[in-house]
Amino acid sequence: MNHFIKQLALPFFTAMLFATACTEQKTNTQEQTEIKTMDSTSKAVNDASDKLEDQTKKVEASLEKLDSEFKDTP
Amino acid sequence: MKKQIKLIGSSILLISAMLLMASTQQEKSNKGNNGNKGNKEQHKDQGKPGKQYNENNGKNKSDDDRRDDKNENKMNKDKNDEFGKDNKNANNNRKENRNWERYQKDYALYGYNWDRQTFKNRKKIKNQDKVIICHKFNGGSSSPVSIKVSANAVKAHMNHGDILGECPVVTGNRFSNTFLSNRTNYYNTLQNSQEQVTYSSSILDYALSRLTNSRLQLANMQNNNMPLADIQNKQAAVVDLEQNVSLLETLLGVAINIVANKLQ
Repeated sequence: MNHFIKQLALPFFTAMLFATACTEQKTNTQEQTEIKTMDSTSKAVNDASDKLEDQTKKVEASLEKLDSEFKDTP
Repeated sequence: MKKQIKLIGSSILLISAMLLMASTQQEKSNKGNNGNKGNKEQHKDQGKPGKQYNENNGKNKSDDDRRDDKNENKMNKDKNDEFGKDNKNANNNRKENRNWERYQKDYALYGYNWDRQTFKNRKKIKNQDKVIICHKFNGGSSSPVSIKVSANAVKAHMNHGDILGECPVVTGNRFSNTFLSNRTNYYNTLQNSQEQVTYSSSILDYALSRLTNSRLQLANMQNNNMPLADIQNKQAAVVDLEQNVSLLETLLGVAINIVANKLQ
């Protein structure tokens, strides 16, 4: 009985170890992919946001100019 | 004896198969929930600057009110689920409600409704303190993330079930710290951009209304034989604003397409 149990235990634990290692590897790969996607999206978002901020400042400056030109009118 | 061994063997195989299936299933669901989930959904008003991000300009009031009621109920339900189980948590809940009431009082000027006076103070109004909230995603399918938001945007977040303060620490999380840190930074970047879009959108609306008024005034001045030099200066100011507004509209459309729905 003990002999058979030993015979079964070794392949079983080897299989479990293999499965765990594969899962861990897959998770790491997924994380790396997600991080790359997030980085590239963040870059695009930051670029768009910076341009928007600059242009908004220009519009604000134009509005101030308009305010000074139309000072007396409501 | 052989029967027993066969029984033990098949049990072990069955258990390992179940474990393997369970871990694969969990991975699939996590993969679907992380990161760019919001990309799949398209906003109805996408590409219409000033309409989509109307959280601050008070338009569609009746719809907003209904949505507010619905979301407040949902928010209260979520809060009750999370905090209403014992007295200590009930106290926390009351404290959070007090905090929220205080914020509502402090920032009564919620949103950007610009006129000449408020426009002069725009920097003060825009640069409100940042508040940490626990941002939840639609349906709570993805794990929440702690982000810093402008006090101006707190109400909009609370309306869809976010809560004040940092998210509770999750134990036994299988994600690495690097991933979690990147994820937090990512959503903070999105939040900042969304706030910029909201602000720019409100400035665009104000500039468009000022342009309309200024053109009318200019036409009146021309009819009233105002000095030509004055009219030319005013015309130059109007043209300058027109050009900048046109470019802002374009950039706003681009930014909305990039940022849209990623924080949903």
